Amino acid sequence: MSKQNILEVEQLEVIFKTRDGIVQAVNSLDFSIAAGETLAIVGESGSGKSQTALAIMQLLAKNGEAKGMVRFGSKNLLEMTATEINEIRGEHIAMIFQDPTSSLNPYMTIEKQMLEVLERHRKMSRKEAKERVLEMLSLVDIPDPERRLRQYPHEYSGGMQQRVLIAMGLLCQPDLLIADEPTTALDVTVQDQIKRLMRELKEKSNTSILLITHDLGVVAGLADKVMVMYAGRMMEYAPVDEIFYRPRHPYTQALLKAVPRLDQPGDYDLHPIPGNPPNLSNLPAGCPFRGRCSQAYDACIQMPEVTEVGEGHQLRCHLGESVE
Amino acid sequence: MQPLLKVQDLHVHYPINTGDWLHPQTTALKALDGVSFEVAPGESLGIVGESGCGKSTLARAILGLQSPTRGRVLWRGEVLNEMEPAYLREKRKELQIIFQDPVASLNPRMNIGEIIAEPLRNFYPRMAAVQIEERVKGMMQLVGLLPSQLNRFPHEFSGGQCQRVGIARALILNPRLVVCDEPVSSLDVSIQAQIVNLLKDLQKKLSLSLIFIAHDLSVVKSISERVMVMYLGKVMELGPREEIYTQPRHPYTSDLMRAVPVPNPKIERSKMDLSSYGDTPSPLGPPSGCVFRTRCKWARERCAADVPALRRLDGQAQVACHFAEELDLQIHSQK
Repeated sequence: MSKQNILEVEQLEVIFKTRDGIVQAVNSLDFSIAAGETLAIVGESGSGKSQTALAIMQLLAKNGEAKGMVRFGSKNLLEMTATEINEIRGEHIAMIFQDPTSSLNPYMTIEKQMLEVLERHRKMSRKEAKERVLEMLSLVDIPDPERRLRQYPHEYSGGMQQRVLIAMGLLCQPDLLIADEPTTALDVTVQDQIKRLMRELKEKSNTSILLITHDLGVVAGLADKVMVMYAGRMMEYAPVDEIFYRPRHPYTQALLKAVPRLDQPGDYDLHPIPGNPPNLSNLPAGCPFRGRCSQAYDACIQMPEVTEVGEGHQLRCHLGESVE
Repeated sequence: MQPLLKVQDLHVHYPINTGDWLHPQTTALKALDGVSFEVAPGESLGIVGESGCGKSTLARAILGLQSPTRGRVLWRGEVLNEMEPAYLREKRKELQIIFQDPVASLNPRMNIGEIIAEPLRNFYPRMAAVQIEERVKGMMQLVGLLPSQLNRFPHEFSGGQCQRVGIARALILNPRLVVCDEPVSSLDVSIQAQIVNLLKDLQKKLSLSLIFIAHDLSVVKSISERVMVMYLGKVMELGPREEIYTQPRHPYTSDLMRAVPVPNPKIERSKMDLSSYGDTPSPLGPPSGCVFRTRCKWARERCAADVPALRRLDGQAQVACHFAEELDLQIHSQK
């Protein structure tokens, strides 16, 4: 892969100051996204996946603080002033969220909300802007876009709202689209539409996608690279086929087994991971997964280093090459 | 054997105001439109469908929380929706529910012990405190909670543990049937499997009947011996899971199966070449004839004219499709 990286994250830390002390949500995270590439960050609640996305866009809650390097172009996004980052948001990096209904303004027509983006970032005439909006809406398969533009969000179904948000995100042809659980709140058949749309987008444009999700099935269809996170740390980071067909980390393996599968008709058993997700304000020493890991041993008291176990395949586990 | 629960031709219609102030007009939203099925003692039935299919209305109707427009709910041979309130209250002991959001369904000001004991206090006000505590502790053990955590509050627990509390509360009255309304949808994958396995164990141990409601076919697969697929207030397919999962006969069932993403990149990528699914029509103006026809790639003229009845084919499963025998429904699992 000699493609140019459009986003490089180095040693990203996110901490929150709470009444009960400091909570470290993201811990020394490194990753990069090349042009046209889709990186999926997978994890369960409390893994830090959403906070990573929010930190990149400087959207952390007031008590949150991000440290490290998020290189976009030649600049560190974390050090930008509010004016500077506003030029990036929407124009170079767009973001879509889990709940499409609460991401749209219920008092504004879809037309007004979409034109707002172009008015803010592009010096287009109204006519040009409207043409661009219509073009984007038909790209995301909104039928009868002329009429639909004049409608309000509540007149759209959940799936259509999410498609509008994707269209809105793409208006300025951003270099990077951050999608935080874009399919989670939708019905399965609607999820499929959104996945197709993102897949098409990937194939037709050169937009890179950072996909944040807990759903390994969604990842399988869309991602080029996958990072598995647990308790704020990267556990495994590899090309998509490596993660699914040759998972190395015990957590990744356990997660893949826990998913109820429909591609194996006769198998009715589920294999849960014992224990509960970690409490970030009270993490045990060493590997955060060790309490739930079936292969844990003495060394796991120490935090494992990240090692390279294959081409582009990184692993944070003491077992390294010898994971079963 | 007499079925525990029998639902006969159940209709629930909600009047919706569709006019404006000048032209007032109400339209009936048919949340349930002629649903019939049975649940045998000790059996577990999965009910699957997307938003607007009527699955939650059905749960409410079974528990007597929603009175039907037409049709009957029979509980052990007695008509539940015609019971006197005092008698219905007695019967409620036998019918319990577990909710989707485990945290929101627990009172944050009560400790775990009080929450689990509340149904006992409610139905057996004379029960001695010692006896209540004993029952609560036994129940906590049964659902995998430490009895020593009796005095903790819900906020000290994770989502999965809160759902265990919800299960304990539902089981403390020794019900015959528990309706689980999307009990694992808001939990992490690793915890989902824990809760599903727990419910499965308890079902066997206590010979409970379970109705497990879900929005997709994946979770239901492991827990339900029979599966019912619903769409816009109607039953599309109902049958034993072995048949439903290996050989779905209704086009909607096979669409639902295909739409569930599987953690296998090759399958997921190959699915992208298959046709897409249309949008669900508004439940206020469902299509004539077969309600699924607007999204069905096999739809023909007859589907717009006649409503397909639920009928049995060669196996055990019942299907509401005119052309079920002729369709070649390919699902990805048959690769």
